[in-house]
Amino acid sequence: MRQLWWKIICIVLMVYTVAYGLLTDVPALHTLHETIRNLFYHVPMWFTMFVLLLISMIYGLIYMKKRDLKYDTISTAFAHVGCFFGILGFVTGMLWGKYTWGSYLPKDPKIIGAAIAILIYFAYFILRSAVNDEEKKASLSAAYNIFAFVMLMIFTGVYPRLVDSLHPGNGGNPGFDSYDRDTRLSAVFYAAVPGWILLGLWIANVRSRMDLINAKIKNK
Amino acid sequence: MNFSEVKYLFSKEFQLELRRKSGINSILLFVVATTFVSFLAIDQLEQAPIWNALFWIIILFANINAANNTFRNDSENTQLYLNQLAHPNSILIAKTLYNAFLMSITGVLNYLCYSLFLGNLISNHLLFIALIIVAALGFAAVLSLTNAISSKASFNNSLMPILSLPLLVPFFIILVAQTNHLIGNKEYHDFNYSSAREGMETEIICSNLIAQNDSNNQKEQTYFLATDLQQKTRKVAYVGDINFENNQPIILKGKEYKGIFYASSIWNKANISAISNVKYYGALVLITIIVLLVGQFLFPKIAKF
Repeated sequence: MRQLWWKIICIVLMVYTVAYGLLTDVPALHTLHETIRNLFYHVPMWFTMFVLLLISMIYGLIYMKKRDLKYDTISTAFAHVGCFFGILGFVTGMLWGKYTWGSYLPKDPKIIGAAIAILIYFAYFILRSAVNDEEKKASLSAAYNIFAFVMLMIFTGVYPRLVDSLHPGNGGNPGFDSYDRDTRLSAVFYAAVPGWILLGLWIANVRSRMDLINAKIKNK
Repeated sequence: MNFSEVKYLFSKEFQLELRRKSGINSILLFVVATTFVSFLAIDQLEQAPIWNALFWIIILFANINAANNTFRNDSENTQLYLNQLAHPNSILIAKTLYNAFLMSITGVLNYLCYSLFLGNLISNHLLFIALIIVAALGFAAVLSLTNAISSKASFNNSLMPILSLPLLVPFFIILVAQTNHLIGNKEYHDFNYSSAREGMETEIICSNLIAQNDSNNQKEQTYFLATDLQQKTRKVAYVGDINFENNQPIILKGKEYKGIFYASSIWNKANISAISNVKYYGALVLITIIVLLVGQFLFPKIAKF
């Protein structure tokens, strides 16, 4: 992961997303208007959170297999950055919700799911701080991490199918299919998703390397 | 996992409980005390959402109390000994089954107590007791695993609720929705219209809701022409986007403002379809099975400490 090429791709995509996302023409839709640009920022942040938490869980699994504290450190770093992106997605969603739905936090399955995802990972950090022994901390938190991610997947997979959501694509609202036909939106959106994910991976990469060095210094 | 092992471990838990009687008694005390305190504050609970919320809150904390001692009842030496005798998966299954048994008893007793003190809004008692038992299995699956994790950590008393509460939310969302379905055999919907803040809270029983499109008002796009059954008049009512498929009477609660009725809740006296029941119970069972499988995978890896 220390190569340069994907970082350059990330920078190019992010500059394009942020600059062109604000400059491009967007379809004038009822109630959405200019807020539709949030599609380039809010939605990819959630994708990034899920990718980072998935990687965190995979490193938890690897830790369980190999019992090397290195993987535990990486797993925690990814969970930290994933949580950060979750909070960012939450804040952008709240701002957007205020101007389109009239409330910062309407009762919506996706909002509840997101809030619970963040709560679960806060519980994960509390669990980590409650155990002193390094090995024990690593395996307990890896177990909780895997369990939490599975519950999160169930939650986001099952619950939205039981109820209607206010979000686009649910409950009779126009979904991404109808936006896809608008090339102006998809031109930015399909660049924004890999851009944000690469940015998240980069931050998590730097963070995990920093944590590994800190652990090395501490053990000396 | 070995069935004979599970059988022996389950009977061991059961016999220990019969000998001590501390676990079940403390939970009973908890349930009776909480319902009694609620009774002191409210005589009869008639609002469905509050009935629903209070019922599941009591169940939640009673269950967390019940599961808190799952792994700490055995001393460290006993745990080592058990790990030599049986596979960790059998231990977890036996503890989960025992917890599920304890939690179903708690749930049913809570239901009795709650009906006695605060009134009963449920129409189909058997379905609701089935819901309590299915929920108890799910809670037991989650709480046993989180207790296994938290019992290894320090400050485990306060850690257990922190770890388990967010993981139990998926269950509660389904349970609350299904309880709303079962309450009074009515379908319950909640709306909040900001324009209906003034005026008195009223209730009308009506039929023949006819949907109309309102081109002037952008936010509330559809309204209904409701026939008031008591005053034999027609009213304009905003009730949100709801499909009324049957011609049975509907109870609208809300406020009347400038001749327009803004509903805050709807009671639809429709029979709940079997499909919706199957959907909710099925979702609960599915989540429980997944949690059990995850527990089978994870528990042997943390049982060593």
